[in-house]
Amino acid sequence: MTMMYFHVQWLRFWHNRKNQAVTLVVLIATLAYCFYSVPSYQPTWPIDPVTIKATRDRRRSELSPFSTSSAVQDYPILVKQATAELAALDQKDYRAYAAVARKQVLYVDERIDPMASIQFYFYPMPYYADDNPFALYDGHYGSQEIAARYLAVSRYRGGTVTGNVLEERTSLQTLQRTISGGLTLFLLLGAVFLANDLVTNDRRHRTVVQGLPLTPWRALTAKTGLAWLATMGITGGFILILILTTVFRYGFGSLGIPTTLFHLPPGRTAYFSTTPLGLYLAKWLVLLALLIWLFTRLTLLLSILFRNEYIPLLLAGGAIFSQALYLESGVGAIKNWTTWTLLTYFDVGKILSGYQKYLYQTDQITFNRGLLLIGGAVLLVELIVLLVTHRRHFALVH
Amino acid sequence: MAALQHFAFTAFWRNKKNIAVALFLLLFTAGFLYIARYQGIGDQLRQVTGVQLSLNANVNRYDQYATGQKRKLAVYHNLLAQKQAYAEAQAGMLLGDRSMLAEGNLDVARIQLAGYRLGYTGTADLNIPDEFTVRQNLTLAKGLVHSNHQIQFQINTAISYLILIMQVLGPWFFLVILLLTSDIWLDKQTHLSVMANIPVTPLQQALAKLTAGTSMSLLLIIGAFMTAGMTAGVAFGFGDWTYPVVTTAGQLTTVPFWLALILYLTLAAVLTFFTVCLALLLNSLTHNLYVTLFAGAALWCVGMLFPTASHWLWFIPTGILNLGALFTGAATTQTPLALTGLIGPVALLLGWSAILLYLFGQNERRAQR
Repeated sequence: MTMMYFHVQWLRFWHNRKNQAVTLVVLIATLAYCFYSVPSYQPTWPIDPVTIKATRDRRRSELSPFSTSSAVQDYPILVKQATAELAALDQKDYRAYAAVARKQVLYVDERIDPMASIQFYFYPMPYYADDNPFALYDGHYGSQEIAARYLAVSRYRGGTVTGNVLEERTSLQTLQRTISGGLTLFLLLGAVFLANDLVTNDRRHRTVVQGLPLTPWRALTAKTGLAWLATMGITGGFILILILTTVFRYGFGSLGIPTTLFHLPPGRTAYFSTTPLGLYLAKWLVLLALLIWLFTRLTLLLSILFRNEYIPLLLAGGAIFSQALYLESGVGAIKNWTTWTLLTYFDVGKILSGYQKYLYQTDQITFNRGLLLIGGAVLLVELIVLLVTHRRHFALVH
Repeated sequence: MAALQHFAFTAFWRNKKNIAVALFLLLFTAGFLYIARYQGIGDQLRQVTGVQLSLNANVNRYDQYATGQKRKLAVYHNLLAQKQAYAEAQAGMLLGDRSMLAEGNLDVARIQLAGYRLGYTGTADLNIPDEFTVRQNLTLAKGLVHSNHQIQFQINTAISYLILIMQVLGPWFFLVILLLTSDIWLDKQTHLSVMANIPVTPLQQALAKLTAGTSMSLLLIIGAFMTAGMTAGVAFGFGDWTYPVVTTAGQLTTVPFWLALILYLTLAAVLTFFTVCLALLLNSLTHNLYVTLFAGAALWCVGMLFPTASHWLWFIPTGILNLGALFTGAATTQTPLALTGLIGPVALLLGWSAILLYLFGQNERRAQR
């Protein structure tokens, strides 16, 4: 019976104008992203022989016995490194390039002191965009990250290393960048949009629905499963289109390519470790599946409690972006409760790359704690749903 | 007719969705004060380090880039001069000398604009504000220096908070109104047997819906501004009602705050009217709230995400749906509308409203047949 109910609901689901509109919007957004944003992506640390050469030549020409002492000390090393980078690029040996570029990035990074009033060295320009007051801290974070990744890539033996791999342009890496940029939040918004009228729509066929030999809990679970499947399907479609539009131009990439994870152990210096890309994506899928279930269930519950389809949309949709209420750089170090708040864990990509740890300045925002909190929230919502649907005289539609 | 009017109003404000949206908006305008102060939004003091870092990085980057070619000295000197002029503004800020800060801001804007006259050759990846923003800063800085107003560089009065709200909520008002009115013509679908037998013409019904939708939405926007003003006013005091605000009248100019608020609300009224007309047409075409919402939002998205395209398509209301950009003139810059100030976009919106209403009438007539 549940399967038949599910089947009928599935058909009705896709005949719903709203759901068709949501799918169309997602499709258009996906295409715009794949054909407009992805090709115009500029890496923060580009492989740019022209600038390397220009900088090297300028440093070489400025070097004289009358230069500042720091220049006399640093420039010969930097010039040597730049020459090695150019030679590696000439031979298209990207492993060698990564190994040398890593040294140079770290060398420059050591010579930038955020506390000093005058700087002689600079991070790439994007860190300074929008008058970012944390430019030097972000630049340091970015330097350490790129150094860790370059080191891992230079030792990576699972496949060929191309310029696209270093610049994170391959299909899988583009997917990872999108996830880190907040894809999860938009998928959750989609889930809320798909689920919000599943219960209230039944009002139109009250007599039919009330005659079905199904307990409200079973009917609700079938609806949740339906919206969950639909959202996961949309996610799959997005990934498929993204891969198809990038694979021929930049290559597919590989699940073994290293990706970085930030650590901030208390009392010790921060560092980056690397994990295979496949593990990152698998962890993302686990948390995403749980979160979509949570939001679908929550939306359905709210629509039962308020007997309206728009209020859950506003409440659940608002909750997705509510992290902004308390997020401030370094807030986690001062207020420990922010690391136990569920809202902190919605942007899964930033949890998995450790960027959320950097943002909150605490080591406690991890995958495991996210799993614990989200799983706990799922159980809590399940309990409430169980209690609500097993009240005496309860009906899904009134 | 009065009963019909009454019915339209009641249907509007007793709608659960509209109550939720209204509560959400009012809570936001009150609560954003706390967020803005906590996060340092609109706080020049907190941006000092960032601007300084960015200007320094610009000089260095240009210095590196220009090697090997003929040095474009003029641009290089311009970038250096920006740095020095900003140091003056910064000193003013740190010493609490507001006139020094205003002068410094004026100099920075002047030099940046001069840089645009030089063409900023070879500065593709420098962090320089776009020309319109520079002009806007220059106009405000001039207005501040020439009048005797104390420059505000933090959100610490009701006026500074209201100016911030005008910028922050400006892009979103269209979506809020669309959310409110997206089911304005749908009760005819859901309660067909009732609505078809009311002894009034469809024209009268549409008129009642139009007045109810426009006036109630506008009332909510005014309410939002009053909430914002009262919250900040009670907490920090009201401040200077004649503080200059940048708007456009053919070219950028400053007007006192009270006039700016009136102009802004007038624009909001026109935008509301346009949005209700759009909602009526989309409702009568699609019979669906969400399709109405998404179609309207698509129009808005073009202006938000592809500003160049919206400047090309200036005769279609996309960029001017952003109330903040419409008010400052950013939405109409580099289009034929720029010379007309605020009158051109208003006329455009009203013209489109008329077209939408005509199409709506045609569609309804065809549906009745």
